Amino acid sequence: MATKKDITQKILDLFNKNAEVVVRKFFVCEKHINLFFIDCLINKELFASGIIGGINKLEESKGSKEKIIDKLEKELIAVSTIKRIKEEKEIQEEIFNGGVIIQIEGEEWLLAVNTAGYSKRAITEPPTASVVRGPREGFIEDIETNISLIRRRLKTPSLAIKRLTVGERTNTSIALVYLDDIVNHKVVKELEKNIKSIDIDGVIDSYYLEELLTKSSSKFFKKLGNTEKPDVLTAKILEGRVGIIVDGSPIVLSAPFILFEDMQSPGDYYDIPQRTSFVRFVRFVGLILAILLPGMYVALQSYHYRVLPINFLISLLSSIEGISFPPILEILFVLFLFEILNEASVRMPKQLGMALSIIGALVLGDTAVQAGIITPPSIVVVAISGITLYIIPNESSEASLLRTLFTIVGGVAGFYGIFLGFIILATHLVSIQSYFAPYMAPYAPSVDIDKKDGFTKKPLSYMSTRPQSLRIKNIIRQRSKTKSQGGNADGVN
Amino acid sequence: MNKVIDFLKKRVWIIILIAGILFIPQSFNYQAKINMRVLVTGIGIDKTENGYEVTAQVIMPTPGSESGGSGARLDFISETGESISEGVQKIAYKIGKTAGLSHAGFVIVGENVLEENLVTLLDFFARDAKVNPSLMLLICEGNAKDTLEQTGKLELSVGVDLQKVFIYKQSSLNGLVMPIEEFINATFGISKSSIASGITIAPEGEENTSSKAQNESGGNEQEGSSQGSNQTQAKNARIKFYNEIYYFKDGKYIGKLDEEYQILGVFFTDKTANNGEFKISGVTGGILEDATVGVSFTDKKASTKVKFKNGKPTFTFNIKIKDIKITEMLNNDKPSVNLYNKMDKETMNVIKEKIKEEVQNFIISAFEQAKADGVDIFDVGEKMYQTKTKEWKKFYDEYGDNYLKNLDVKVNVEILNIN
Amino acid sequence: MELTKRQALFLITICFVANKVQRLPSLVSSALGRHGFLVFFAMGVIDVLFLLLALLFNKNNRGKTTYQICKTAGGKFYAKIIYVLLGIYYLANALLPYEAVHDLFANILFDFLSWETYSLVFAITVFFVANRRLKNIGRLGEIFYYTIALSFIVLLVLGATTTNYQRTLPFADLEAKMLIDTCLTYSLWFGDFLIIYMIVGKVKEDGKKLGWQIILMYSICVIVISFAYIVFYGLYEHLSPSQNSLISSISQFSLLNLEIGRIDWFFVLFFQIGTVVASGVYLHLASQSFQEVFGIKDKKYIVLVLVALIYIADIFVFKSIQEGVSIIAFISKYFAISMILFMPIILLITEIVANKKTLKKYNFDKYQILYQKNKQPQKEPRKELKEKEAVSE
Repeated sequence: MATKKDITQKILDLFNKNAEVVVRKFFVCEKHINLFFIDCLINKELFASGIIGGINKLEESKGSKEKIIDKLEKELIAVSTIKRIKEEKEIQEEIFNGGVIIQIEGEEWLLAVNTAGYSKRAITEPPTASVVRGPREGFIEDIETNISLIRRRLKTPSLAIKRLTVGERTNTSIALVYLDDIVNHKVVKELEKNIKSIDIDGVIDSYYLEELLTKSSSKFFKKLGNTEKPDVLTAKILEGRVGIIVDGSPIVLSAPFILFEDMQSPGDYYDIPQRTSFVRFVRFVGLILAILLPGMYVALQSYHYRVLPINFLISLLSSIEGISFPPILEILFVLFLFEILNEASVRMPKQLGMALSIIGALVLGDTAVQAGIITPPSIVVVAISGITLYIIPNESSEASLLRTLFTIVGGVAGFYGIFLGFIILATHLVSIQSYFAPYMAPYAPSVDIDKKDGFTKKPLSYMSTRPQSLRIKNIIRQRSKTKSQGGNADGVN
Repeated sequence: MNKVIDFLKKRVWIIILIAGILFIPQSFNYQAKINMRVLVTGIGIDKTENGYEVTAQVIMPTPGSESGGSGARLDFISETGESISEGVQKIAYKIGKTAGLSHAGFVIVGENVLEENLVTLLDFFARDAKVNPSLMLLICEGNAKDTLEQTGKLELSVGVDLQKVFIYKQSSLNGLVMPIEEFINATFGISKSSIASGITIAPEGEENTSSKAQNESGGNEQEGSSQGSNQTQAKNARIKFYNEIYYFKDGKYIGKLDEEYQILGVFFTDKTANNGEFKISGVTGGILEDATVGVSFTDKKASTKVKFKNGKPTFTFNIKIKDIKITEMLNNDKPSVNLYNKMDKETMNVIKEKIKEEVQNFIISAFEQAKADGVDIFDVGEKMYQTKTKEWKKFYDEYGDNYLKNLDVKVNVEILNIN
Repeated sequence: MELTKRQALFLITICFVANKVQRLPSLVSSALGRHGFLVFFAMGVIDVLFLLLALLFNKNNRGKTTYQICKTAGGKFYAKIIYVLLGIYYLANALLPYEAVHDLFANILFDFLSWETYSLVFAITVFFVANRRLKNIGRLGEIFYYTIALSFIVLLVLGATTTNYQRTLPFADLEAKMLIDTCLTYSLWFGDFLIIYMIVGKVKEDGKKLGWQIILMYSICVIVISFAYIVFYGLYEHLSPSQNSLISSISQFSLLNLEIGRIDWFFVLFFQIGTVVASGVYLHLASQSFQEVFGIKDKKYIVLVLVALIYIADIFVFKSIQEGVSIIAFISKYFAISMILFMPIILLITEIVANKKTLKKYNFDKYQILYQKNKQPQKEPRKELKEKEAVSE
């Protein structure tokens, strides 16, 4: 049997000399008991009352036949999670996760007590997903809190949570959350396989995982959904998707992902269906405008002025008279300025926000036009495109790049280039699959039953099935009511 | 092959570089370069000794961000060439910019060009895919260049958008729109006859020469909003109503209808003209005594019918006029109190009959004049071929191109609701 | 399964319509003038009749592809010949929409365009589309179908409201010989139902085979296309032969153009998506045919070669319309019409033979298994039957 000193040293050797692992020693019931923990990670109150208090009570049970480890584990330690471990990796994991390792002299097993008490952010409304009506909770960086937010909403025994770890040095906790009797288990297996095959030193944010889980050669279009809101994730899980919660990131991923998910917003489900349908149509048009408008403007000016009516053409000619730059350079320049403004506004201190707005509006808007560098129509075009870009924030990165690409294509090849580019883009999109689900569902392939929550949204009473595009097991979501269950508010039939 | 693809996938920049080298320089050559292009909105053609004089009405925008095009002015640039295409090219050389004909709305042909075959002349416009086939043909007395320059004295929206103006005039029985495509098609049809409208732009007050003319073609009554203009030319010109109608056979000019009642006759048979006004005089009966009555209507339908009897055709125009309103009544050209009383049935019937008589007179007089010149201005032959093919073929085999002189034309006028 | 029924229906409809509203109407009008719609109608009716044969073929395919059926009936060599013929037909049909897009962009939308260079981009796009799986091409057709249909209807309505219908009168005042000759000359543009032979065995039919929906859609398309020709001729009459394409010409007279500009160009572009899809479909089917013939695993090489052929044909062979039309007329009169009229009949007979052979083999095998189980000496089925008959007598 290894001596106490050997075991203590062994445990300390698992950590760096400067890892700040504290060793607290006790001598109770003629046994040496050592506690290993990192001070800044533990909940000190729980440590004092739950663990120290429990150890102190050991003296009272001196003489009992029960082993100290059993007594501590079953009776005395007043903490919710306690388990026996002995593997080195487990010891490291527990200590790094804010746990306390209790090593008892003469015992092979160690007790790991969860006393995580590091400070975490309060639950607030996410900035990119605010709603007029609906829940305002958002995920935070702590995985346990995030899981609790889901647990509170899905009070069903079929909710399954599969824990994994990824990242050699970060040992980031990952939780796959799904409903066992609904989900397509092939997706779960595939995700698990892919996560386990990741060999990287650290995963800091869920985006790392998103990229690493995208196996196809084209990573331009994301293959996993993301959200910051627990109600959204709950809805996705109820539809048969798998939620992927990453410790340290408030953005939770989901799989499978179809492009149309980004066209939907949480607020859609807390508003009348007619309004939702209208707004979705506006979003779609906005997205198209964001991507294609600058390119089409360049193409119209450079090659296809014949499309424009004479009055507008005269006005356009008046405004571009004297501007020596070709339209493509002009638009690219304005787009570039817009991107600079964008980046600066994200990073700059709030106190300077007003100054930047004035610079942006006056210098770019007015002075540049008067100086003959850019024309008013180009500002209008880029402004519309810029605003509509954020109509679907999750797609803004891709849309921004596509916008630039289509602008160049429009300037080089006019409508011809835009036309062919659009076809190539569409062909690529319909060929993508995200974890066995077609990317452009429910429109390509056409799944009529899923279109109830497509561009037009039907009332909730119509949504009796889950999305069939996800190829899940249990597709019945609700059963339709019989007539006898109806009745008006007065109770008179 | 797979190795090549893998190599290229890793070095996408090579593909982008090649594409850039191939396309970017070419794209700068192929751009329409709108600011290097002048917009031709109208063309005038005159005959010269050595060919043709082509005058282009061009929009010259002035720098600045004026809204609604008010910063633009009309310029007129003339060049001569052996053909029209050469003339247009030379215009481009003169101003140093490419002439864009895609927004051209009308072609004014001077009277001296009428010695030529108009179809061969207009072939240039018909063949160019970038020219709008609805390009309108207009004939002017005298010089097309002078008439075109008069458009500079109209309001900008009128001068540039003559086509819209004429469409408006046509629907209200005051004008005729003859697209070049229709002119050419009519020439190659059975009747080989075609018509075109005349255009006269005169200083204000001189535009209406006939006493039967109703409205003044003011700029604010035309299509398009009235806009303030920076132009130095005074806007004091107006387009004349009831312009002459020139008729052609096989593309060659034969004659014209210049009497207003004849011109009205042509308009009455046009299917797109469905509202208008005209005056009838010499109405006697009921409470009227040699009265002049002005009428307006908002719904007119024109159709044709062909009947063959014993191998001889009768071509009937059926004109249905609805909702006729009396706009003025002057007994012996003087107002009279009793004319404000409610009209009796007899007076109404008298007016009705007079309207019928006048409309019949309009149409038949136009037809007879053209018939005398051997021109089938109402395309009667084509319509007979379309509806009674067998009988027509027999008839044509017998009379050939002289079929016009051997057919009867009737006009049935039906009036519903006269107030 | 590669395609759903709906996707198959949409693809065939797109291919049918996209091909026929480009240059074909102006070519037909130069031959028959106002009676040209009869060509569309007559060939459309022939197509529908032979479509019935193709659907019958599909109904009795027993889950096999055409190649498997031909191989069973006549062996590998026979199957390859059929596939070579089908491949050439599809390749020729892929060229027509390619030419149409060339026409639209190089001659109409742009003032100047170096088509030799810019056509490369189009060739790459068509390669990209044709190289996808049939399932993905089906999805592409599905996603764009309503846009294409709506654009076509809008353009047709814009033209129909301004056309002069009387110009197309009288109906059918022509000799039958002229009509037949014109039908033969332009038959290459028809016969889109032959697509069915390449998707047989690849359509998810869920018990019910492709049937009345496709016949109905086809018939509606025949009527609509014939009407489109009437609208086109009514607008241009004697100038129809000089127009490049029906779809870009029929909306030119609309008064909307004066007010809000040539907004109809956007609808033309949306419609042209269908033309690209049609070219991609035909190219894909051609590559599939040749893939079976040459036994090449990776389809992309064949697609590449075929795209290169089309590119070369477009740039160098079909330099002028006259040259192009004379070559197409030759192909039409001797090859295309034969394919339309005889291929369905040949394949139907092939299928009957194949099914009989399969049934015979199945019965023989069944008896083999039965006898082995019972450990009885093997007897030929006929002998056993004769014995049974003898006993019953």
